[in-house]
Amino acid sequence: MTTDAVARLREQVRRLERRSLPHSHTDTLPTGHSAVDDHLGGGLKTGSLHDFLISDPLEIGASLAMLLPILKEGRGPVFWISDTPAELNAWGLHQSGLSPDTLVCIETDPASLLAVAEDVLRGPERALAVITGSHVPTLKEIRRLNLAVEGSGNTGFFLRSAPLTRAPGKDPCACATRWRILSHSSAPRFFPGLAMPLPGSRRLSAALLRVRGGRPAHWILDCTDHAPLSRSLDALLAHRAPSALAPERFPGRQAPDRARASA
Amino acid sequence: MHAPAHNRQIVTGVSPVALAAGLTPGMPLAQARSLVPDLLTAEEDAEAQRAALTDLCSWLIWLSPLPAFDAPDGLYSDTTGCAHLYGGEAAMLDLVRDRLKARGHSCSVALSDTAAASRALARSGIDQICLVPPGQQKQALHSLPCSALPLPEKTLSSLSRLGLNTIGALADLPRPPLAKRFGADLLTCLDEALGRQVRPLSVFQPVDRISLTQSLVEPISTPDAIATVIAALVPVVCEKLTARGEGARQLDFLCVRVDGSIQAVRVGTSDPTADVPRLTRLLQDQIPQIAPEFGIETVILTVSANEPLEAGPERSVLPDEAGSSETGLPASLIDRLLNRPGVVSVHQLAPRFSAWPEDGQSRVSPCDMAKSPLAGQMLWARPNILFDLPVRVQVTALLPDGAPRQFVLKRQTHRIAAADGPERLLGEWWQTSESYGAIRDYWQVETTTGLRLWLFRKGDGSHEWSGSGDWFLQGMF
Repeated sequence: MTTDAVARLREQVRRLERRSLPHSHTDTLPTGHSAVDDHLGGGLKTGSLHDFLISDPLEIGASLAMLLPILKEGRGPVFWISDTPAELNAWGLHQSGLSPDTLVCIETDPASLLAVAEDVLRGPERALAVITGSHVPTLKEIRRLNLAVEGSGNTGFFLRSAPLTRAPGKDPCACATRWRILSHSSAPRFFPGLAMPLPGSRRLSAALLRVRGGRPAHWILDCTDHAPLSRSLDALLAHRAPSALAPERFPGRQAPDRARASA
Repeated sequence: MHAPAHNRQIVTGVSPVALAAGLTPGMPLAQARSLVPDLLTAEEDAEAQRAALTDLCSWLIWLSPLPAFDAPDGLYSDTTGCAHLYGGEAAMLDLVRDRLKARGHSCSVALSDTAAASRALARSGIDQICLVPPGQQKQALHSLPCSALPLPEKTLSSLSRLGLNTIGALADLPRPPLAKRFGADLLTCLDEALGRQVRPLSVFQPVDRISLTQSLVEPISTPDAIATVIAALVPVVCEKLTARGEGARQLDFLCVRVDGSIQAVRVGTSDPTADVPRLTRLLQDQIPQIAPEFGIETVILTVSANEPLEAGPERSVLPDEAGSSETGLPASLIDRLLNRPGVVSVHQLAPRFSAWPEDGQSRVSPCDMAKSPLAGQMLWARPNILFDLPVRVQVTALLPDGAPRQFVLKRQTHRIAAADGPERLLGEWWQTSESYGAIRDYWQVETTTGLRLWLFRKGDGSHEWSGSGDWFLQGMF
């Protein structure tokens, strides 16, 4: 009798904790910065919402520098939902690692921004959604979206403007994490003969304001580029060889070259 | 147009320009070529003509439900009882001609009591409208040549040898000698034209659309009931589509309300599909758009656009959740978004090569995006955020063509700590005269607070012709 009651109680608690959902084994999206990943236990959780506060319109680049590698880790199509035309640039996004093939921009009415976001996040299809807009979502709206992502396992990112003076980010938050990422001056590289030093590797000042079941933290992160080449190999080759035509189109030009090589 | 006849090529159709140059149908091609040496000719393709005429005939069904062929280059339409829909007979003929002109056809239109009379009138002149009041086709046909009637060539030539050049002259003659000399066909033709005898049209049946009509036992008004009806209709439609090997691109769902008014919902898909859950969900998402009011008594589900279904390798029988979603975009989600009210646009960004960065990408509809090899080929750093309209900033630089040291944006001074550049871009001098010689020098800068921005100066800083020397902010890294 007692064990039965305990089992029933456990079942109730389990249901409250939503561990019975099919996506209960939450995956994580690593941020690429080992300090952050260690603190969060592997990275940002999928099947939840993450809130990025942008303190100044010029600071959006810093948040993108943090967010784009995470989106690349998601390996699903990325839906960029905004109520104004997105000012994204396909060339730059590709260089940041997010292929334009997987990015879909959705422009909505300001009134139906969150409804469209819910449609994307709730569906059975895998998707990552970035929701940008001036509208500050209420707790109720975020909880509704939370239910949607918990059911589907999709991940949503809010990218919203919140000036430091007016919204310090201390208000209650239903998202799994809340970030404020500012740019930080890097170590410039001086070279002889240059009037101005070159910018060093990018440095971010990332503040984790809130995290569910964890402590807030603050890091100075270096976005170092460990790739052996600064650009992809085909870019370097493409600018060396201007003609993309097959070499057999020019039999006349090929022959003398070969003749010279043999001589 | 020319076609072989009696071992030589005969001109069968000419353009208005060629007609003005003196070429007429029926002329040998060699003669036409000698008249106009640089004549552009094409051999007649009877198959293609028939297909085009079939297309036009199924298009004509907007006018009346009874279109018919008049091979090789004519169409009938039985418009009895239709004229009032278009504001009278004259307005209807104007509309027919305007719409045909909009499709790129020159035509002549005639309307009379009988099909044969209309045919003769329409064929007697090009690009004209002819409207015959009821019972007066005899007067209208009186002065027309006999060649307007569908008679064999031999009969026509013997008629003209006898001096019977007009239909009026033919109609005035006594009938028995005519029948004795030319056979009953001539009289039948004449009687049909004059309305003494009626010949039924062989009405063309256009390729049938898949359409389901369901009358409901009792009017429905709740969303649940509408969803049930949709769930019952869609599998039947999908079964029919699959049997034809086709997929729906557009579905129309019409609800006839009790008071006779119709609530219409239209959904489109991004690729042909006969997938029951996908179409069901698309339609059920539109239920809030339907206002049932006193109830819906009949529903009609029509496939208004369909395309052959490609049996691609991606339509696998086994459900694999991980594989399909990672490779491509989820078509069903994109369909839902495209059909959703409140969505302004759904697009992808395709990079393209252009001189100025603001023209460097185009919006394409999702699924049209080819795997672009271009995106990897940019050697220079490009920002993630790019303004289509660059923002004017006040820059202080030590030298007119040197690196910027600080700039003022919105009355706020930003000092520059590090800069990389210049990257010189040249305008598209082959396009416009303004771009000729236009130069922009781009700098990636980092301010003392760490902001990474993309600034450019119009001009090379020393020559007036290359640009004004003003500075702009165009992007953020």
